[in-house]
Amino acid sequence: MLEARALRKTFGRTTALDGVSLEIGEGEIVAITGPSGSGKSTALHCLAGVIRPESGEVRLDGRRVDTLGEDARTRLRRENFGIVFQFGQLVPELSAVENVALPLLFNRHGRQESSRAARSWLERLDVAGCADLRPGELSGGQLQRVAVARALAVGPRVIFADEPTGALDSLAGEQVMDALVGTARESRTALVVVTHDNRVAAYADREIVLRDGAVAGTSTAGASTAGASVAGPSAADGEVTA
Amino acid sequence: MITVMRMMVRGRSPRERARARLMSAGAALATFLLCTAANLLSFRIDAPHDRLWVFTEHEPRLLAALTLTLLVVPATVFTYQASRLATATRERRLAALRLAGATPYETRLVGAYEVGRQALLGGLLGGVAHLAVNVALWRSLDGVVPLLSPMWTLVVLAAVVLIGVGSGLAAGRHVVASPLGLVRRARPRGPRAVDLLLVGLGVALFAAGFIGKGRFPVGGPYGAALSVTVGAVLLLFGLVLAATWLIGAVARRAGRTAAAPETLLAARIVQADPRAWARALTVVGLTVFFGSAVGAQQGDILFSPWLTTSKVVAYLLIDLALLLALVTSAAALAVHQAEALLDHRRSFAVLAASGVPASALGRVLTRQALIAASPVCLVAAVAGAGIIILTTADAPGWSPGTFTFAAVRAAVTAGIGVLAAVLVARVSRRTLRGALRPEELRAG
Repeated sequence: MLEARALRKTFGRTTALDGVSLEIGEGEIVAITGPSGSGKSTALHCLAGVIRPESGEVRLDGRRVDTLGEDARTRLRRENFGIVFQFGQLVPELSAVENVALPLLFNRHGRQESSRAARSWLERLDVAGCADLRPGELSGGQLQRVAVARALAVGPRVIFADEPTGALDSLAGEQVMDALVGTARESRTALVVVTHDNRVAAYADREIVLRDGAVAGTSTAGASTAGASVAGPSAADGEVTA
Repeated sequence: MITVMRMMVRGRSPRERARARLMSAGAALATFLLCTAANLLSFRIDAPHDRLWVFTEHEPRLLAALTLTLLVVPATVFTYQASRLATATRERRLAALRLAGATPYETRLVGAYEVGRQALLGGLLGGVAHLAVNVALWRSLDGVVPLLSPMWTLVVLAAVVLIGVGSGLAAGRHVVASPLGLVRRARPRGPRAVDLLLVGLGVALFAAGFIGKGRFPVGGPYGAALSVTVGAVLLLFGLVLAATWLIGAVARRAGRTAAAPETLLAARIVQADPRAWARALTVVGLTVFFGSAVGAQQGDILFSPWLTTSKVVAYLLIDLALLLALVTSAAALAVHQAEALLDHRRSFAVLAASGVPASALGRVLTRQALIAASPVCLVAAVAGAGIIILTTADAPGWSPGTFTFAAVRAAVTAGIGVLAAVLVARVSRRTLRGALRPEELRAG
């Protein structure tokens, strides 16, 4: 469904991506791991169409994404992708329910309809009680779940998560990953998680390891979990094919 | 301590340097205006002069000096807005100082030194600019224009520096830097209905003086005039203080009823910090207030048989000064927009990454300006024109034409105020593009 071929991207003299190729299947959960500065976030930004690679190509359902103009890529992201970051993705002035409703409103849904849908997503992610609170009044784990709800609210085909548990303690991180992976599997949404945490990577069907901007190896979970309800940390014991 | 202060000044970031330059520019403008006002007051032309005939009359000269002095208000607001740029970086530095062993008082001194230094630099620049303009005028007008005495120049310069140091010390009161590197900003209180008390008192005094004309219980006609004047002044200050409350209330309502996401986002952002908008719009509101009041007065005079050329020129000068005030307040608004964008750059960058078009976020900026500026300008225009109409409507010469002129002028002035705020927001879209860069997604 989503495919990248020979991606290359530099920032000044630093090569962030050096010929990265990878594929994401429908409903698949993929972790991109690697040490700091290995190009994980840049790869995610290229896949999500946030930035354009200098060479190589990104295709969604066979259609080139990287050659699209800014407006077309923006529309594509809004209609097909959901994005979760480590910090500060919620608008601090909006309540949780308004934050989740915002992408729906931008997709031209009515205010009441958007609010209803947002509340139901918050309920599914077990943060319905925080619906009317502002981000400053939420804990780190609640913030991330609201962010996950916002990413899922538009019914995306792929969710991109950049270090979604990086700012959380292990328990809150586990709860967020359970919620993210569980909901992604239920709705057959593909999930691409950038992380350097092995426990997070263990949720994935497949792990792609980046080093110095290139793919250094791929590991697959022992049994394919695509379509299963929730993948747990036990899926970590996968076969490594470097 | 002086060495530490100098080290801190040398180690400033580009944003802090921009802040320092803008503050100096504001101080320079204030010094220039004050020196020119003082110079105008010491102006004496005994013989009629073909190019300076306006200033041979006492009234226009006094009006011009007063206008120049009033123009210091927008310059001061601009300087204050500029001082708020790069606040986060500055507060981190102050916290680092505490960690290095500085006492809270010493960190406040460093803050005061930074502002005082820029005020001194700006003051010197403004003084030199005033001298240069005066010498040029003196030469071109055959020695008619007198130069301002050095003592008065020094007094103005000292006042500018003292205000700078004072505001630097006062700003430090709101920041609590701990030795652990934590910076807490004392939370400004939210808008309260009690802020409207001054407006109520002003309206009451104004109405009492106006209604009780001729049979006012204290002081007779003078008491009534005093009551009207004090009421008008209280009303003006009350309106400035109540702007926070007014903007907050309008934003809350706009947020509740918004159908478009841009309006919802804009309303909630304004609602979260109406004080910042009220501060940035103070001069716009005052300009609209005076513009509408002067407009009503002009209507009175334009339609009266006592119209003289010097009065027309004096009013034109006031209009010019109001325009200058609006331009300066637009600069203060631009600084406010830049500061707000710095605060929101990360959440805006995430929204853009999630597929919200930059144009929609640009609309959020303009709608914020509309939500905040519309009520302020509307109330200021109605109050400004209303005061003049109520106090002079029974004077001979008032006609429906005069009233129409005053109303149209108030509407146009309010429109210009709102337009200025919206235009500044539209110009800020360039800064917005910079804030939406993917690099912002990485900042922790």
